[in-house]
Amino acid sequence: VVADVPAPATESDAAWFDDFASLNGVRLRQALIARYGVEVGCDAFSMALLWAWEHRDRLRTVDSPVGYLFRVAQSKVRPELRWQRRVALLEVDERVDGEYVDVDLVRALATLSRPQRTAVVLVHSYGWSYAEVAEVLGVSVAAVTNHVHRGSLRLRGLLGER
Amino acid sequence: MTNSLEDRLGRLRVQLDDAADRRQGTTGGAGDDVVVDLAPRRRQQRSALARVLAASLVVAVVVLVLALVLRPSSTPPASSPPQWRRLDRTAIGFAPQTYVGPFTTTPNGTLVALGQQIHGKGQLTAKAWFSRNGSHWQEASVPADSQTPGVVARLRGRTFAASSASTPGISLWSTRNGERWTKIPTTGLEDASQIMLGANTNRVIAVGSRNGTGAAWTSPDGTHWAPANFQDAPPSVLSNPVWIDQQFVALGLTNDNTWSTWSSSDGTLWRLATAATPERLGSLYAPTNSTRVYGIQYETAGGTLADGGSFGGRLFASRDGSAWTEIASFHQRLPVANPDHILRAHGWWILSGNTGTPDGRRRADIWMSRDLRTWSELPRRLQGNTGRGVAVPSGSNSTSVVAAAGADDRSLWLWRP
Repeated sequence: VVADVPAPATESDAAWFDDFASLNGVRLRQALIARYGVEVGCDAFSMALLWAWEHRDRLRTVDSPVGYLFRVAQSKVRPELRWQRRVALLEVDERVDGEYVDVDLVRALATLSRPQRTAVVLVHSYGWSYAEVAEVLGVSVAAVTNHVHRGSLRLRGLLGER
Repeated sequence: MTNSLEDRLGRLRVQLDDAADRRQGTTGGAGDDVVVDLAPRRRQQRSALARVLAASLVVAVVVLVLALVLRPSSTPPASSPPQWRRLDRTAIGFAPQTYVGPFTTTPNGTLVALGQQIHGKGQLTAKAWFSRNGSHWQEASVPADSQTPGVVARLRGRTFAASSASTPGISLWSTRNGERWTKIPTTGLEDASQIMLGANTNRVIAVGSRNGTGAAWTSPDGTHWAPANFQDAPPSVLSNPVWIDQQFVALGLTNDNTWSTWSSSDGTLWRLATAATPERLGSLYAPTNSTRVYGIQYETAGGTLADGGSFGGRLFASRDGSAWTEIASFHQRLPVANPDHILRAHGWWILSGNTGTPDGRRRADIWMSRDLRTWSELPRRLQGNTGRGVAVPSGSNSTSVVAAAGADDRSLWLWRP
């Protein structure tokens, strides 16, 4: 535990962290929501960001901080997901700003494998490039391409699209 | 309108962002606000556990029935303690490098935090923030001031905050809604120092010292102040005024570190209630409509566990200020707890402060009790960062209870009853 005790924060620490969170926070949250859904994804995001604050010195030297924190978050939420077979991106009865959630789409996404769902949502919902997805997930671009292709095919089948 | 898979997935982004913003209690769009929430809601874990538990339901029921039948003295099961979340203050509206001092609540239910921001090499700026829900805070408009408004009192819809400098020179602010504070004149308080505020339904009082002697003042409106009189020789300074059971009670301290308790029916004439007052008593607190006042005996500065009894805070209570009794369960159950604030909210007693050994490795912590006999503590994962001891002020409104640590530990704890 002693090794994890952070040095007292300085004003430059706080400024650096604010910049860091502004630059990377949105993308990290998107990645975790795509992977785990809103409920667990937001929890994972919170835990990852606090870990980032407590380990800010280490994080300053990391090349891909979003990918690094994505893996930190994965380890943090693993106990929550041990018994969980399917991930719902949203509560299907949830109403968002007067518009009901696309229940069929959410249910169809829940049937995809986690890598497929993560890749499809990041690419088609959040507009990430294949390379960006590959960097954060720690896989090759070819693998991301495969996940998006297969995931989209399955969604089209489930939703009756050609 | 097209409705291809790509279009539907594109629209899903908005729905996900909106749901995430609501989930994290923010009002900004598309994830611009970052909220660090350290207490994951366990809905999905509970769901998974429920499946496991369902398999052994029959066994569990049998065990439960046997336990209830065989238990010799039946005490009601304790309610589950408050479920706190730990948030990063800078992600919910507080500026970096801020200390949060007292919390209070305006008559319209707005939570208010007073504090200061540290700039550069220690320059201070007084700050205030307000929130409806405890998880999204906005900076209030405050007068330009370097003194920390450290004490508060409420009178007829107005909330007053005063600085408590050790030298004469009082700064007094006032607000109605917590969003805008104004500095008000302090006629009659010119020579006051070490001020703390209290109030009942028709007047606000200030206690402190004047020229090295304990003094008190009363005001019907917070602006015009009149000095109070003392029936007995006053101490060096008065502090911690609270209104309880039709009288004001305050603590007195002499230059030779002798504590005493003082009382006054209306704030204009003070008398010695008792000289038998626990030393190092402070943080007096009287819940609304309570007939008791509560206080914390702080640990001896620099004390160690080997000193025997000087370490760890102790909780005391008094019916009228004339006799103090220790609520021994707190220190017995939590011998290294060092609380500095007391709050009664939503059926719970909530003490906050720091825990740990007095070697500088302490963590902000919160302790809770329904009955002042049995206590629970924040789980280790939710306690503050290890560091030097910090004060952890607390506050509540109808929907939220909050507590905050110092500048090095940017945590704010939130419980939604």
